[in-house]
Amino acid sequence: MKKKPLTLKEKKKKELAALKAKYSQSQDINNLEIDSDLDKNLVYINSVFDKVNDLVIKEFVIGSQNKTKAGLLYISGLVEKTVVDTSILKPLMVTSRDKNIVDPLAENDLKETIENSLLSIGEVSLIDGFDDLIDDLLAGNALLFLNGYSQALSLSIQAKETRDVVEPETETVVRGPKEGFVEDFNINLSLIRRRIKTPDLKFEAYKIGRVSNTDVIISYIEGIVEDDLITEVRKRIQNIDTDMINESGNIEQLIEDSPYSPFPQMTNTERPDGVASALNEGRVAIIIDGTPFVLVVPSVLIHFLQANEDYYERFLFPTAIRVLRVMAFAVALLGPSIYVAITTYHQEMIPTPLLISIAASRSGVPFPGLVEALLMEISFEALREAGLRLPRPVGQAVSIVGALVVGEAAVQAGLVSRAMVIVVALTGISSFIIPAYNMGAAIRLLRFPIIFLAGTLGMFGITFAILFLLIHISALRSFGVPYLSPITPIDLSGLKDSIIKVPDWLKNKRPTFLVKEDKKRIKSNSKPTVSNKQGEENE
Amino acid sequence: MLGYIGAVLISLVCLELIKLYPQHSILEFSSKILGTKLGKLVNIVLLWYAILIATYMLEQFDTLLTTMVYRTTPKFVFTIGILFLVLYVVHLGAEVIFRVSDVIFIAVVLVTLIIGIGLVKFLDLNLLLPVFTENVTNLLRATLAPFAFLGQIIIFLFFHHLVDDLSGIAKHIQLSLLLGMLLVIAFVIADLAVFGPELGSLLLFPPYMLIRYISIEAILDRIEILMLTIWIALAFLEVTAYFWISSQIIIDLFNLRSNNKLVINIPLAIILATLVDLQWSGISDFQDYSRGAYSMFLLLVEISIPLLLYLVAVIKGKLGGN
Repeated sequence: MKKKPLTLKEKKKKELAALKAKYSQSQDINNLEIDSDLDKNLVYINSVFDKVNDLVIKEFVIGSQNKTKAGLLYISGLVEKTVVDTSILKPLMVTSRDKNIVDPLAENDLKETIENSLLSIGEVSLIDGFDDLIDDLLAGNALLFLNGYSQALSLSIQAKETRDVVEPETETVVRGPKEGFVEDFNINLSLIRRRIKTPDLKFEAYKIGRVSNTDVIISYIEGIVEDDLITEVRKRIQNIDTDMINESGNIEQLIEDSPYSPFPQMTNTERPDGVASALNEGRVAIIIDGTPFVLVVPSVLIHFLQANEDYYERFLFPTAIRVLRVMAFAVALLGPSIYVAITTYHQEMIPTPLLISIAASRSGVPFPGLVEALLMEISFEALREAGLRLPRPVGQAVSIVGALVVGEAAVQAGLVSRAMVIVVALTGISSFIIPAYNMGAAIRLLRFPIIFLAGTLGMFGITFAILFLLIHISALRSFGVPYLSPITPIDLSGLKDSIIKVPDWLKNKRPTFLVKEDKKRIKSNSKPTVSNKQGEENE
Repeated sequence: MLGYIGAVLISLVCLELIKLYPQHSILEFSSKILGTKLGKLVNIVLLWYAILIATYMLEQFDTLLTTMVYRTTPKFVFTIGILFLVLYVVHLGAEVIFRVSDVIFIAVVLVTLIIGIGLVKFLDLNLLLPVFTENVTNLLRATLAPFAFLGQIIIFLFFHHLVDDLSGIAKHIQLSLLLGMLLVIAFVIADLAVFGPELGSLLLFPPYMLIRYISIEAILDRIEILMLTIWIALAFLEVTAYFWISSQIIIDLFNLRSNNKLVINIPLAIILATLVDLQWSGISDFQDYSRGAYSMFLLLVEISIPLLLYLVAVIKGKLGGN
């Protein structure tokens, strides 16, 4: 029996089925060029995005007399649907019927006709290869294929669903700008750009994460930043080989100098003014898409004790506050340890009336000072953690009620002394005075081994711990800069903005531990002067 | 003051040696000046000098802690504790040692100021009289300890080649000597003005005893524990410096080129701990040693070795040597 010849339609169907089978079996389907046959392109896309339900493929026809088959592809949720409907589909499906579209068109004519006459989209680009095409699709662009043309149009119509620019909750200020970064990195770049209006402000873009393809931007001011520093930052960012970047913390852990150190080696901030100031000092910002936290490098110990508001108040108040922070740092780290050491080993240090008072409050407490302190500290940390994790209204209630009720109950039950409750409360408050959360966390962590050393070896144990930490932080570096700068190695220009803060007109140079050769920041004769005393003019 | 003048003379000789060999430590230029064998012999003497000071400091530190504060704790706990820190910092390198010493220096200055202010009301300046003694031997004997202490300025010869810019080294050496002298004079005057010459000369730890007098009104009594922390820090620093020097000398003597410095440093720490335990039979033995032989031996090395090296270098230079 003679085989019936296949119709054109059947032939095409068979060809596409073979192509689909080939794509599904083939391991290497990268670097393919776009075909002029729309159906083949769609088969390829379908193979790559197999079982991807949020991929939308809309096939339609452009023109009335000389019809051209077209396909619009986009990921639902990543694009602005109203723009798809009103600015793409409506002009192409409806308006194109009224236009005089000649078929076949030269490819240039096609681009011009669609881009200039039909689509009302700002950013349109032509794509040749499937690799770029897939990247664009996943970035939130819509792709327009036309039958007979081996290029696709990439239409930039990403959905800009982002929260408002509001004051960051983690870095509130009384005086200063009330805007904070958001999750969309483009908005964050604009917030920085609005504060540094110079072409020297650079944004270098990288894609990090094999699965997440996260946009990571390195920002710096050319002419201020040290070349070695920016080269080092670039190198470390480019060396990241991971699948997923969700937050700045992921990047931080992959590029820091000493990953085993409890001390943070880079600051993170939600404030554009903080980033702008850091860039102007010669530091580098790393902006990551999807998080409002921007990393700033290099960061030395003193940076973690500074807050943005310090720079908006007259110099005396910030200096006093910084001294208070250093004291709080010491209390948060050593408070319970010193109490344990003195009450256990060095009672002679306490004047007799105070000693009697402490002894009276400790009478009936069944535990030694060490156990008492560990018990209270662990309870305090548990309450703090519970307060953070629970829904906000419940969390606050748990923190306050927990601290009041559990503390009072523990004292009433004779499990801990009143003096210990006061010490732990004071320590807790001190740890929250430190502006950088990550530094506060490091101190809270280190407090426990120091309490243990104080309970076993008294002041020698504490001194041992202090020396150990001193050695450790003396060896630490943040992107090559010694962590104890500007105290050691000593840097006078850096000391002007360290524990003390001099008036702005005296800060005539950038810290030399960040920028070796510096142009003057401020004129040397910028000290405010009074041209004539009030009333003199009238005399 | 006599001790200070002597130390200044030693420092001038050291500066001349630094000028002659800016890129080499004493371990290297001793062999260049005296030849390999005699150079190694000098290095062995320097090794003994470094080990002696390190063990002396450890013993002094252990004695202070076990007699004044921790009377029931065995000495080795503190020796091991401090040597552990020393091993850690030496492992991290000379740069870290310098940074740690910078911070400790700031703490020492602050505590000295507090002590000075706190002691003002206890000072009886009449106890300083008579200023001059008629007995010259007593004067010279009293000079020995501060002279030997300030004479330790020779340790710059072990470090100077690590400094990038040597232009200010003369100024820094003289400044450090001056500060050291002022610190010694301040404590000696305070010691004499509070305890008087009789009791003051008998005390093994005068600064520690002095601070017992200070009381921060109704808050803290007897804050000598705070002094103890500074004492521990200073002892740690001195032991570290001489431990590092000992380690460098051993590497040089045996031409060791191991990347893992712990291979040298851990046995060295064990040797030091053992020597501390064996060298002195008790506190009185240690006190006798402190007053006599210790300072004499230190001075012998501090004066003779730089002078010998400098003289031979100059003579060799004049004879047309390199």
